[in-house]
Amino acid sequence: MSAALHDLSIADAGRKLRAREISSLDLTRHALARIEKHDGEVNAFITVTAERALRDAQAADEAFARGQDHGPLQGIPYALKDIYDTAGIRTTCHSKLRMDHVPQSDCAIEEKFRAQGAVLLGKLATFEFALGGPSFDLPFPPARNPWNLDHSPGGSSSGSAAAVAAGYCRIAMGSCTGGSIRGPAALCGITGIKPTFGLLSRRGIFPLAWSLDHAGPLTASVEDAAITLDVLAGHDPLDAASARVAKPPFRGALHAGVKGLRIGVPRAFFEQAPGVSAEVIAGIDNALAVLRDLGAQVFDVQLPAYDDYAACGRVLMFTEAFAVHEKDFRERPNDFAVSTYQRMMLGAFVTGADIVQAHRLRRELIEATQKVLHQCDAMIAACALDAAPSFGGRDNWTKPSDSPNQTMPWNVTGHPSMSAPTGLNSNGLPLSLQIIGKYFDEPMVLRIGAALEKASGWPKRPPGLTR
Amino acid sequence: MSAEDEIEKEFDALARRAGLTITAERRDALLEGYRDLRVMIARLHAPRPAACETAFVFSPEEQQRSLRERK
Repeated sequence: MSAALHDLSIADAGRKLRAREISSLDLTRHALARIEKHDGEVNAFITVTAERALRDAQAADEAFARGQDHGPLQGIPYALKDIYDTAGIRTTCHSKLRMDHVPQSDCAIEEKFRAQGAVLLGKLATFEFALGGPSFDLPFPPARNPWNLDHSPGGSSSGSAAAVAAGYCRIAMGSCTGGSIRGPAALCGITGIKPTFGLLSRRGIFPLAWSLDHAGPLTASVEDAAITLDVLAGHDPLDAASARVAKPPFRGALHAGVKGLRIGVPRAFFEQAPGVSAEVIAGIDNALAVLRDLGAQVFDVQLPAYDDYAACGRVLMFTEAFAVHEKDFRERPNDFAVSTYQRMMLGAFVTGADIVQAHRLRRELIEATQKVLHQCDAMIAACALDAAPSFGGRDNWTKPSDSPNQTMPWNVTGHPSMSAPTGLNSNGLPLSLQIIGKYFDEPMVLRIGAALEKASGWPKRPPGLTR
Repeated sequence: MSAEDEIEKEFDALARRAGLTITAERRDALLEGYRDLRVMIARLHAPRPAACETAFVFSPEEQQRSLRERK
Protein backbone atom coordinates (compact mmCIF):
# COMPACT_ATOMS: atom_id res chain seq x y z
CA MET A 1 0.00 0.00 0.00
CA SER A 2 2.76 2.41 0.98
CA ALA A 3 4.28 2.60 -2.52
CA ALA A 4 1.10 4.09 -3.95
CA LEU A 5 0.36 6.66 -1.24
CA HIS A 6 2.03 9.51 -3.11
CA ASP A 7 -0.12 8.78 -6.14
CA LEU A 8 -3.39 9.13 -4.28
CA SER A 9 -5.24 12.25 -5.38
CA ILE A 10 -6.33 14.62 -2.63
CA ALA A 11 -9.92 13.49 -3.10
CA ASP A 12 -8.99 9.78 -2.93
CA ALA A 13 -6.71 10.31 0.05
CA GLY A 14 -9.52 12.24 1.74
CA ARG A 15 -11.99 9.40 1.18
CA LYS A 16 -9.52 6.86 2.59
CA LEU A 17 -8.71 9.07 5.57
CA ARG A 18 -12.38 9.45 6.39
CA ALA A 19 -12.97 5.71 5.95
CA ARG A 20 -9.96 5.15 8.28
CA GLU A 21 -8.32 2.97 5.60
CA ILE A 22 -5.19 5.09 5.92
CA SER A 23 -4.06 7.67 8.45
CA SER A 24 -2.52 11.07 8.01
CA LEU A 25 0.53 9.67 9.80
CA ASP A 26 0.82 7.03 7.03
CA LEU A 27 0.75 9.76 4.36
CA THR A 28 3.18 11.94 6.26
CA ARG A 29 5.73 9.24 7.12
CA HIS A 30 5.63 8.12 3.49
CA ALA A 31 6.23 11.68 2.28
CA LEU A 32 9.09 12.23 4.73
CA ALA A 33 10.66 8.93 3.64
CA ARG A 34 10.54 10.00 -0.03
CA ILE A 35 12.11 13.34 0.86
CA GLU A 36 14.83 11.54 2.81
CA LYS A 37 15.42 9.17 -0.11
CA HIS A 38 15.42 11.61 -3.02
CA ASP A 39 15.89 15.17 -1.88
CA GLY A 40 19.63 14.95 -1.44
CA GLU A 41 19.67 15.08 -5.25
CA VAL A 42 16.49 17.01 -6.09
CA ASN A 43 17.10 19.85 -3.56
CA ALA A 44 13.44 20.86 -3.51
CA PHE A 45 13.49 21.65 0.22
CA ILE A 46 15.42 24.31 2.09
CA THR A 47 13.86 23.31 5.41
CA VAL A 48 12.06 20.04 6.18
CA THR A 49 9.73 20.47 9.16
CA ALA A 50 9.53 16.77 10.03
CA GLU A 51 8.60 17.18 13.70
CA ARG A 52 5.93 19.73 12.93
CA ALA A 53 4.59 17.50 10.13
CA LEU A 54 4.26 14.49 12.43
CA ARG A 55 2.50 16.65 15.03
CA ASP A 56 0.12 18.02 12.39
CA ALA A 57 -0.61 14.49 11.16
CA GLN A 58 -1.22 13.19 14.68
CA ALA A 59 -3.60 16.08 15.31
CA ALA A 60 -5.44 15.42 12.05
CA ASP A 61 -5.86 11.74 12.88
CA GLU A 62 -7.13 12.59 16.36
CA ALA A 63 -9.61 15.02 14.83
CA PHE A 64 -10.87 12.33 12.45
CA ALA A 65 -11.20 9.97 15.42
CA ARG A 66 -13.31 12.56 17.23
CA GLY A 67 -15.49 12.98 14.16
CA GLN A 68 -14.17 16.49 13.48
CA ASP A 69 -13.76 17.41 9.83
CA HIS A 70 -12.22 20.78 9.03
CA GLY A 71 -12.28 20.36 5.27
CA PRO A 72 -10.80 18.55 2.27
CA LEU A 73 -7.17 19.23 3.22
CA GLN A 74 -7.39 17.78 6.74
CA GLY A 75 -4.49 15.37 7.10
CA ILE A 76 -3.08 16.14 3.62
CA PRO A 77 0.66 16.97 3.35
CA TYR A 78 1.69 20.21 1.59
CA ALA A 79 4.71 22.49 1.36
CA LEU A 80 5.34 26.22 0.90
CA LYS A 81 7.75 28.23 -1.22
CA ASP A 82 10.25 29.77 1.17
CA ILE A 83 8.88 33.27 0.70
CA TYR A 84 5.67 32.36 2.60
CA ASP A 85 5.92 33.50 6.22
CA THR A 86 5.54 30.69 8.74
CA ALA A 87 5.51 31.56 12.44
CA GLY A 88 8.60 30.22 14.18
CA ILE A 89 9.98 28.60 11.01
CA ARG A 90 12.88 30.22 9.13
CA THR A 91 11.75 31.92 5.90
CA THR A 92 14.84 32.71 3.84
CA CYS A 93 13.63 33.70 0.35
CA HIS A 94 16.59 31.46 -0.68
CA SER A 95 18.84 34.43 0.05
CA LYS A 96 21.87 35.25 2.12
CA LEU A 97 20.04 38.45 3.04
CA ARG A 98 17.23 36.58 4.89
CA MET A 99 19.16 33.61 6.26
CA ASP A 100 18.13 34.27 9.86
CA HIS A 101 14.62 35.57 9.30
CA VAL A 102 12.10 33.78 11.53
CA PRO A 103 8.61 35.31 11.14
CA GLN A 104 6.43 36.00 14.15
CA SER A 105 3.22 35.14 12.35
CA ASP A 106 1.86 33.04 9.51
CA CYS A 107 0.95 34.34 6.10
CA ALA A 108 -2.74 34.28 5.20
CA ILE A 109 -2.39 31.12 3.08
CA GLU A 110 -0.68 29.23 5.90
CA GLU A 111 -3.47 30.30 8.25
CA LYS A 112 -5.94 28.62 5.89
CA PHE A 113 -3.91 25.41 5.64
CA ARG A 114 -3.64 25.28 9.42
CA ALA A 115 -7.35 25.89 9.87
CA GLN A 116 -7.97 22.87 7.63
CA GLY A 117 -5.65 20.65 9.69
CA ALA A 118 -3.28 20.06 6.75
CA VAL A 119 0.30 18.84 7.30
CA LEU A 120 3.24 21.17 6.62
CA LEU A 121 6.25 19.23 5.28
CA GLY A 122 8.54 22.24 4.98
CA LYS A 123 9.78 25.21 3.01
CA LEU A 124 10.83 25.01 -0.61
CA ALA A 125 13.64 26.31 -2.79
CA THR A 126 13.02 29.29 -5.05
CA PHE A 127 14.99 31.57 -7.31
CA GLU A 128 16.32 34.22 -4.90
CA PHE A 129 13.49 36.54 -3.88
CA ALA A 130 11.43 34.87 -6.64
CA LEU A 131 13.52 36.39 -9.45
CA GLY A 132 16.72 35.66 -11.33
CA GLY A 133 17.55 32.10 -12.17
CA PRO A 134 18.94 28.87 -10.77
CA SER A 135 21.97 30.22 -8.91
CA PHE A 136 25.02 28.47 -7.54
CA ASP A 137 26.27 31.53 -5.61
CA LEU A 138 23.65 31.31 -2.84
CA PRO A 139 23.61 29.58 0.57
CA PHE A 140 21.36 26.77 -0.74
CA PRO A 141 21.70 24.78 -3.97
CA PRO A 142 19.14 25.24 -6.75
CA ALA A 143 16.36 22.68 -7.06
CA ARG A 144 16.73 20.13 -9.85
CA ASN A 145 14.18 18.71 -12.24
CA PRO A 146 12.97 15.25 -11.15
CA TRP A 147 12.54 14.27 -14.82
CA ASN A 148 16.28 14.74 -15.36
CA LEU A 149 18.50 16.01 -12.57
CA ASP A 150 20.86 17.71 -15.04
CA HIS A 151 18.00 20.02 -16.00
CA SER A 152 16.42 22.97 -14.23
CA PRO A 153 12.85 22.72 -12.94
CA GLY A 154 12.38 26.36 -14.00
CA GLY A 155 11.35 29.00 -11.54
CA SER A 156 10.99 30.91 -9.57
CA SER A 157 8.83 28.34 -7.73
CA SER A 158 11.49 25.76 -8.51
CA GLY A 159 11.30 23.71 -5.32
CA SER A 160 7.49 23.74 -5.42
CA ALA A 161 7.42 22.18 -8.90
CA ALA A 162 10.19 19.72 -8.08
CA ALA A 163 8.48 18.62 -4.84
CA VAL A 164 5.20 17.83 -6.56
CA ALA A 165 6.85 16.14 -9.56
CA ALA A 166 8.99 14.04 -7.21
CA GLY A 167 5.87 12.89 -5.35
CA TYR A 168 6.73 14.41 -1.98
CA CYS A 169 3.32 16.10 -1.82
CA ARG A 170 0.29 16.78 -4.02
CA ILE A 171 0.23 20.53 -3.27
CA ALA A 172 3.09 23.00 -3.10
CA MET A 173 2.36 26.70 -2.98
CA GLY A 174 4.21 29.03 -5.32
CA SER A 175 4.07 32.66 -6.26
CA CYS A 176 3.92 34.25 -9.68
CA THR A 177 4.97 37.70 -10.87
CA GLY A 178 5.78 36.88 -14.48
CA GLY A 179 5.31 33.12 -14.74
CA SER A 180 6.83 31.62 -11.60
CA ILE A 181 4.01 29.13 -11.06
CA ARG A 182 3.13 28.11 -14.63
CA GLY A 183 6.73 28.04 -15.90
CA PRO A 184 8.14 25.50 -13.43
CA ALA A 185 4.91 23.50 -13.45
CA ALA A 186 5.23 23.26 -17.24
CA LEU A 187 8.84 22.08 -17.09
CA CYS A 188 8.06 19.49 -14.41
CA GLY A 189 4.90 18.02 -16.00
CA ILE A 190 2.43 19.11 -13.33
CA THR A 191 -0.46 21.57 -13.01
CA GLY A 192 0.23 25.18 -12.04
CA ILE A 193 -2.47 27.81 -11.79
CA LYS A 194 -2.06 31.54 -11.41
CA PRO A 195 -5.51 32.68 -10.32
CA THR A 196 -7.09 36.03 -11.10
CA PHE A 197 -5.18 38.89 -9.45
CA GLY A 198 -6.64 39.31 -5.99
CA LEU A 199 -8.32 35.90 -5.67
CA LEU A 200 -5.79 34.54 -3.16
CA SER A 201 -4.38 36.68 -0.38
CA ARG A 202 -0.69 37.58 -0.59
CA ARG A 203 -0.49 38.82 3.00
CA GLY A 204 2.71 37.55 4.55
CA ILE A 205 4.29 36.46 1.26
CA PHE A 206 7.51 38.35 0.58
CA PRO A 207 6.75 40.66 -2.36
CA LEU A 208 8.58 40.76 -5.66
CA ALA A 209 6.40 43.35 -7.45
CA TRP A 210 3.14 44.25 -5.74
CA SER A 211 1.05 45.01 -8.82
CA LEU A 212 2.00 41.74 -10.52
CA ASP A 213 2.32 39.29 -7.61
CA HIS A 214 -0.06 36.35 -7.31
CA ALA A 215 -0.15 33.36 -4.97
CA GLY A 216 -1.16 30.01 -6.40
CA PRO A 217 -0.82 26.25 -6.12
CA LEU A 218 1.29 23.77 -8.06
CA THR A 219 -0.43 20.42 -7.90
CA ALA A 220 -0.24 16.91 -9.24
CA SER A 221 -3.58 17.14 -11.05
CA VAL A 222 -6.26 19.60 -12.12
CA GLU A 223 -8.69 18.25 -9.51
CA ASP A 224 -6.07 18.79 -6.79
CA ALA A 225 -5.76 22.41 -7.98
CA ALA A 226 -9.53 22.92 -7.85
CA ILE A 227 -9.73 21.55 -4.30
CA THR A 228 -6.84 23.75 -3.19
CA LEU A 229 -8.34 26.91 -4.68
CA ASP A 230 -11.65 26.08 -3.04
CA VAL A 231 -9.93 26.14 0.34
CA LEU A 232 -7.64 29.13 -0.22
CA ALA A 233 -9.74 31.64 -2.18
CA GLY A 234 -11.47 34.43 -0.35
CA HIS A 235 -11.34 38.10 0.53
CA ASP A 236 -8.62 39.27 2.92
CA PRO A 237 -9.08 42.85 4.12
CA LEU A 238 -5.40 42.93 5.08
CA ASP A 239 -4.21 42.43 1.48
CA ALA A 240 -4.71 45.72 -0.38
CA ALA A 241 -5.25 43.87 -3.68
CA SER A 242 -7.60 41.21 -2.37
CA ALA A 243 -10.77 40.93 -4.42
CA ARG A 244 -14.19 41.09 -2.81
CA VAL A 245 -15.94 38.53 -4.98
CA ALA A 246 -18.12 35.49 -4.36
CA LYS A 247 -16.07 32.30 -4.44
CA PRO A 248 -16.71 30.56 -7.76
CA PRO A 249 -17.56 26.83 -7.80
CA PHE A 250 -14.04 25.60 -8.65
CA ARG A 251 -14.97 21.92 -8.67
CA GLY A 252 -18.50 22.37 -9.92
CA ALA A 253 -17.86 22.14 -13.65
CA LEU A 254 -14.66 20.12 -13.56
CA HIS A 255 -16.08 17.20 -15.49
CA ALA A 256 -18.58 19.09 -17.66
CA GLY A 257 -16.50 18.58 -20.81
CA VAL A 258 -15.76 21.11 -23.51
CA LYS A 259 -18.59 20.52 -25.98
CA GLY A 260 -19.72 23.84 -27.41
CA LEU A 261 -16.98 25.87 -25.77
CA ARG A 262 -15.25 28.56 -27.85
CA ILE A 263 -11.46 28.40 -27.56
CA GLY A 264 -9.37 31.27 -28.96
CA VAL A 265 -5.75 30.67 -29.94
CA PRO A 266 -3.35 33.68 -30.08
CA ARG A 267 -1.15 31.74 -32.47
CA ALA A 268 0.97 34.73 -33.47
CA PHE A 269 2.22 34.90 -29.88
CA PHE A 270 4.11 31.66 -29.98
CA GLU A 271 4.38 30.30 -33.50
CA GLN A 272 7.30 32.53 -34.48
CA ALA A 273 8.64 33.22 -30.97
CA PRO A 274 12.44 33.04 -30.69
CA GLY A 275 13.44 29.69 -29.24
CA VAL A 276 10.07 27.97 -29.57
CA SER A 277 10.43 24.25 -30.10
CA ALA A 278 8.58 22.42 -32.87
CA GLU A 279 7.66 19.80 -30.27
CA VAL A 280 5.90 22.44 -28.14
CA ILE A 281 3.87 23.62 -31.13
CA ALA A 282 3.03 20.03 -32.08
CA GLY A 283 1.89 19.39 -28.49
CA ILE A 284 -0.42 22.43 -28.60
CA ASP A 285 -1.82 21.43 -31.99
CA ASN A 286 -2.49 17.90 -30.74
CA ALA A 287 -4.31 19.29 -27.71
CA LEU A 288 -6.38 21.62 -29.92
CA ALA A 289 -7.31 18.64 -32.10
CA VAL A 290 -8.44 16.77 -28.97
CA LEU A 291 -10.61 19.73 -27.95
CA ARG A 292 -12.15 19.88 -31.44
CA ASP A 293 -12.86 16.14 -31.29
CA LEU A 294 -14.55 16.69 -27.94
CA GLY A 295 -16.85 19.30 -29.49
CA ALA A 296 -15.12 22.63 -28.83
CA GLN A 297 -14.88 25.36 -31.45
CA VAL A 298 -11.23 26.34 -31.89
CA PHE A 299 -10.25 29.49 -33.77
CA ASP A 300 -7.33 31.92 -33.98
CA VAL A 301 -7.55 35.27 -32.20
CA GLN A 302 -5.42 38.38 -32.50
CA LEU A 303 -3.91 40.06 -29.46
CA PRO A 304 -1.46 42.99 -29.30
CA ALA A 305 2.19 42.06 -29.82
CA TYR A 306 3.57 39.67 -27.20
CA ASP A 307 6.64 41.89 -26.80
CA ASP A 308 4.41 44.77 -25.62
CA TYR A 309 3.03 42.67 -22.76
CA ALA A 310 6.53 41.41 -21.91
CA ALA A 311 8.14 44.86 -21.93
CA CYS A 312 5.33 46.37 -19.85
CA GLY A 313 5.46 43.56 -17.29
CA ARG A 314 9.21 43.41 -16.97
CA VAL A 315 9.74 47.14 -16.61
CA LEU A 316 7.09 47.26 -13.87
CA MET A 317 8.53 44.13 -12.24
CA PHE A 318 12.13 45.36 -12.15
CA THR A 319 11.07 48.77 -10.88
CA GLU A 320 8.78 47.53 -8.12
CA ALA A 321 11.34 44.88 -7.11
CA PHE A 322 14.07 47.50 -6.87
CA ALA A 323 11.78 49.58 -4.68
CA VAL A 324 11.32 46.59 -2.35
CA HIS A 325 15.08 45.98 -2.08
CA GLU A 326 16.49 49.49 -2.51
CA LYS A 327 18.10 49.61 0.94
CA ASP A 328 19.90 46.30 0.47
CA PHE A 329 21.05 47.30 -3.03
CA ARG A 330 22.73 50.34 -1.48
CA GLU A 331 24.17 48.58 1.57
CA ARG A 332 24.76 44.91 0.61
CA PRO A 333 24.62 44.67 -3.20
CA ASN A 334 27.09 41.82 -3.43
CA ASP A 335 25.03 39.61 -1.14
CA PHE A 336 22.53 39.12 -3.98
CA ALA A 337 23.18 36.34 -6.50
CA VAL A 338 24.53 37.73 -9.77
CA SER A 339 21.43 36.73 -11.74
CA THR A 340 19.09 38.41 -9.20
CA TYR A 341 21.27 41.51 -9.15
CA GLN A 342 21.41 41.70 -12.93
CA ARG A 343 17.63 41.85 -13.21
CA MET A 344 16.42 43.61 -10.09
CA MET A 345 19.01 46.37 -10.13
CA LEU A 346 17.67 47.48 -13.53
CA GLY A 347 14.75 49.04 -11.70
CA ALA A 348 17.09 51.82 -10.63
CA PHE A 349 17.55 52.85 -14.28
CA VAL A 350 13.87 53.35 -15.08
CA THR A 351 12.59 56.94 -15.15
CA GLY A 352 9.28 58.33 -13.94
CA ALA A 353 8.17 58.89 -17.54
CA ASP A 354 8.93 55.25 -18.35
CA ILE A 355 6.73 54.08 -15.49
CA VAL A 356 3.82 56.32 -16.51
CA GLN A 357 4.04 54.99 -20.06
CA ALA A 358 4.15 51.42 -18.74
CA HIS A 359 0.92 52.01 -16.83
CA ARG A 360 -0.73 53.56 -19.89
CA LEU A 361 0.34 50.59 -21.99
CA ARG A 362 -0.92 48.24 -19.31
CA ARG A 363 -4.35 49.77 -19.55
CA GLU A 364 -4.37 49.38 -23.34
CA LEU A 365 -3.29 45.76 -23.09
CA ILE A 366 -5.96 44.94 -20.51
CA GLU A 367 -8.69 46.44 -22.68
CA ALA A 368 -7.46 44.65 -25.80
CA THR A 369 -7.31 41.34 -23.94
CA GLN A 370 -10.78 41.82 -22.51
CA LYS A 371 -12.16 42.37 -26.02
CA VAL A 372 -10.64 39.12 -27.27
CA LEU A 373 -11.81 37.14 -24.24
CA HIS A 374 -15.31 38.52 -24.86
CA GLN A 375 -15.31 36.52 -28.13
CA CYS A 376 -14.47 33.20 -26.51
CA ASP A 377 -14.76 31.15 -23.32
CA ALA A 378 -10.99 30.83 -22.88
CA MET A 379 -7.73 30.98 -24.82
CA ILE A 380 -4.99 28.41 -25.29
CA ALA A 381 -1.40 29.49 -25.89
CA ALA A 382 2.13 28.29 -25.28
CA CYS A 383 3.47 28.20 -21.75
CA ALA A 384 7.12 27.11 -21.73
CA LEU A 385 8.58 27.55 -25.21
CA ASP A 386 10.71 24.45 -24.84
CA ALA A 387 11.32 21.61 -22.43
CA ALA A 388 13.45 22.13 -19.30
CA PRO A 389 16.88 23.58 -20.09
CA SER A 390 19.97 21.84 -18.79
CA PHE A 391 21.94 23.73 -16.15
CA GLY A 392 24.86 23.90 -18.55
CA GLY A 393 22.74 25.35 -21.34
CA ARG A 394 21.01 28.24 -19.62
CA ASP A 395 23.13 30.91 -21.28
CA ASN A 396 20.35 31.25 -23.82
CA TRP A 397 18.08 33.04 -21.31
CA THR A 398 20.39 35.12 -19.16
CA LYS A 399 19.32 38.43 -20.71
CA PRO A 400 16.59 40.11 -18.65
CA SER A 401 14.30 40.26 -21.68
CA ASP A 402 14.72 36.56 -22.41
CA SER A 403 12.25 34.16 -20.97
CA PRO A 404 11.72 30.47 -21.49
CA ASN A 405 7.99 31.07 -20.95
CA GLN A 406 5.17 33.15 -22.46
CA THR A 407 3.47 33.76 -19.16
CA MET A 408 3.99 37.46 -18.39
CA PRO A 409 0.97 38.74 -20.40
CA TRP A 410 -1.53 37.38 -17.85
CA ASN A 411 0.37 38.88 -14.94
CA VAL A 412 0.11 42.23 -16.71
CA THR A 413 -3.64 41.82 -17.24
CA GLY A 414 -4.41 39.74 -14.13
CA HIS A 415 -6.39 37.04 -15.96
CA PRO A 416 -6.35 33.48 -14.58
CA SER A 417 -4.08 31.08 -16.43
CA MET A 418 -2.93 27.55 -15.93
CA SER A 419 -0.17 25.40 -17.36
CA ALA A 420 -1.06 21.88 -18.40
CA PRO A 421 1.18 19.06 -19.67
CA THR A 422 0.81 17.98 -23.31
CA GLY A 423 3.26 15.06 -23.34
CA LEU A 424 6.98 14.37 -23.37
CA ASN A 425 9.57 15.50 -25.87
CA SER A 426 12.06 13.21 -27.62
CA ASN A 427 14.34 13.43 -24.55
CA GLY A 428 11.61 12.40 -22.16
CA LEU A 429 11.03 15.88 -20.71
CA PRO A 430 7.54 17.36 -20.22
CA LEU A 431 5.93 19.76 -22.70
CA SER A 432 3.07 22.08 -21.93
CA LEU A 433 0.45 24.60 -22.94
CA GLN A 434 -1.37 27.40 -21.15
CA ILE A 435 -5.11 27.97 -20.67
CA ILE A 436 -6.23 31.57 -20.08
CA GLY A 437 -9.66 32.50 -18.76
CA LYS A 438 -11.83 35.52 -18.06
CA TYR A 439 -11.48 37.31 -14.72
CA PHE A 440 -12.58 35.05 -11.85
CA ASP A 441 -13.51 32.28 -14.28
CA GLU A 442 -11.07 29.75 -12.88
CA PRO A 443 -13.80 27.09 -13.14
CA MET A 444 -13.65 27.36 -16.96
CA VAL A 445 -9.85 27.13 -16.98
CA LEU A 446 -9.96 24.08 -14.72
CA ARG A 447 -12.74 22.50 -16.79
CA ILE A 448 -10.71 22.71 -20.01
CA GLY A 449 -7.61 21.51 -18.17
CA ALA A 450 -9.50 18.52 -16.78
CA ALA A 451 -10.71 17.54 -20.25
CA LEU A 452 -7.18 17.67 -21.65
CA GLU A 453 -5.76 15.80 -18.66
CA LYS A 454 -8.28 13.01 -19.07
CA ALA A 455 -7.65 12.72 -22.80
CA SER A 456 -3.87 12.67 -22.47
CA GLY A 457 -3.54 10.29 -19.55
CA TRP A 458 -1.80 12.67 -17.14
CA PRO A 459 -0.68 12.97 -14.37
CA LYS A 460 2.50 10.97 -14.97
CA ARG A 461 5.54 10.46 -12.76
CA PRO A 462 9.22 10.86 -13.73
CA PRO A 463 10.98 7.56 -14.38
CA GLY A 464 12.95 6.50 -11.33
CA LEU A 465 10.49 8.23 -9.02
CA THR A 466 7.48 6.03 -9.64
CA ARG A 467 7.99 4.15 -6.36
CA MET B 1 31.41 59.37 -29.42
CA SER B 2 30.08 55.97 -30.52
CA ALA B 3 26.57 54.78 -29.71
CA GLU B 4 28.10 52.23 -27.37
CA ASP B 5 30.00 54.95 -25.51
CA GLU B 6 26.77 56.96 -25.26
CA ILE B 7 24.99 54.01 -23.67
CA GLU B 8 27.78 53.53 -21.13
CA LYS B 9 27.74 57.24 -20.30
CA GLU B 10 23.99 57.15 -19.83
CA PHE B 11 24.31 54.03 -17.68
CA ASP B 12 26.91 55.65 -15.45
CA ALA B 13 24.85 58.83 -15.11
CA LEU B 14 21.71 56.92 -14.11
CA ALA B 15 23.67 54.82 -11.61
CA ARG B 16 25.09 58.01 -10.07
CA ARG B 17 21.64 59.59 -9.91
CA ALA B 18 20.33 56.49 -8.11
CA GLY B 19 23.23 56.70 -5.66
CA LEU B 20 24.42 53.18 -6.44
CA THR B 21 27.90 51.80 -6.16
CA ILE B 22 28.46 49.20 -8.85
CA THR B 23 31.53 47.04 -8.39
CA ALA B 24 33.80 46.32 -11.33
CA GLU B 25 33.04 42.61 -11.34
CA ARG B 26 29.27 43.18 -11.58
CA ARG B 27 29.34 46.15 -13.96
CA ASP B 28 29.53 44.18 -17.20
CA ALA B 29 26.55 41.98 -16.38
CA LEU B 30 24.47 44.95 -15.34
CA LEU B 31 25.45 46.97 -18.38
CA GLU B 32 24.40 44.08 -20.60
CA GLY B 33 21.05 44.06 -18.80
CA TYR B 34 20.76 47.81 -19.26
CA ARG B 35 21.16 47.49 -23.03
CA ASP B 36 18.32 45.02 -22.98
CA LEU B 37 16.21 47.27 -20.74
CA ARG B 38 16.53 50.16 -23.20
CA VAL B 39 14.91 48.03 -25.90
CA MET B 40 12.01 47.20 -23.59
CA ILE B 41 11.57 50.82 -22.54
CA ALA B 42 11.46 51.96 -26.17
CA ARG B 43 8.32 49.84 -26.63
CA LEU B 44 6.59 51.71 -23.81
CA HIS B 45 6.97 55.06 -25.51
CA ALA B 46 4.90 54.35 -28.60
CA PRO B 47 2.44 57.21 -29.27
CA ARG B 48 -1.00 56.71 -27.75
CA PRO B 49 -4.03 58.99 -27.39
CA ALA B 50 -4.13 61.46 -24.52
CA ALA B 51 -7.34 59.80 -23.36
CA CYS B 52 -5.29 56.75 -22.47
CA GLU B 53 -4.64 57.97 -18.96
CA THR B 54 -3.35 56.54 -15.73
CA ALA B 55 -6.03 57.69 -13.27
CA PHE B 56 -6.73 54.02 -12.96
CA VAL B 57 -6.19 51.55 -10.21
CA PHE B 58 -5.44 48.08 -11.50
CA SER B 59 -8.35 45.95 -10.42
CA PRO B 60 -9.97 43.03 -12.24
CA GLU B 61 -13.13 43.66 -10.24
CA GLU B 62 -13.34 47.16 -11.73
CA GLN B 63 -12.58 45.82 -15.21
CA GLN B 64 -15.46 43.35 -14.92
CA ARG B 65 -17.86 46.04 -13.72
CA SER B 66 -16.82 48.37 -16.50
CA LEU B 67 -17.28 45.64 -19.11
CA ARG B 68 -20.79 44.87 -17.82
CA GLU B 69 -21.77 48.54 -17.92
CA ARG B 70 -20.55 48.94 -21.49
CA LYS B 71 -22.50 45.91 -22.78
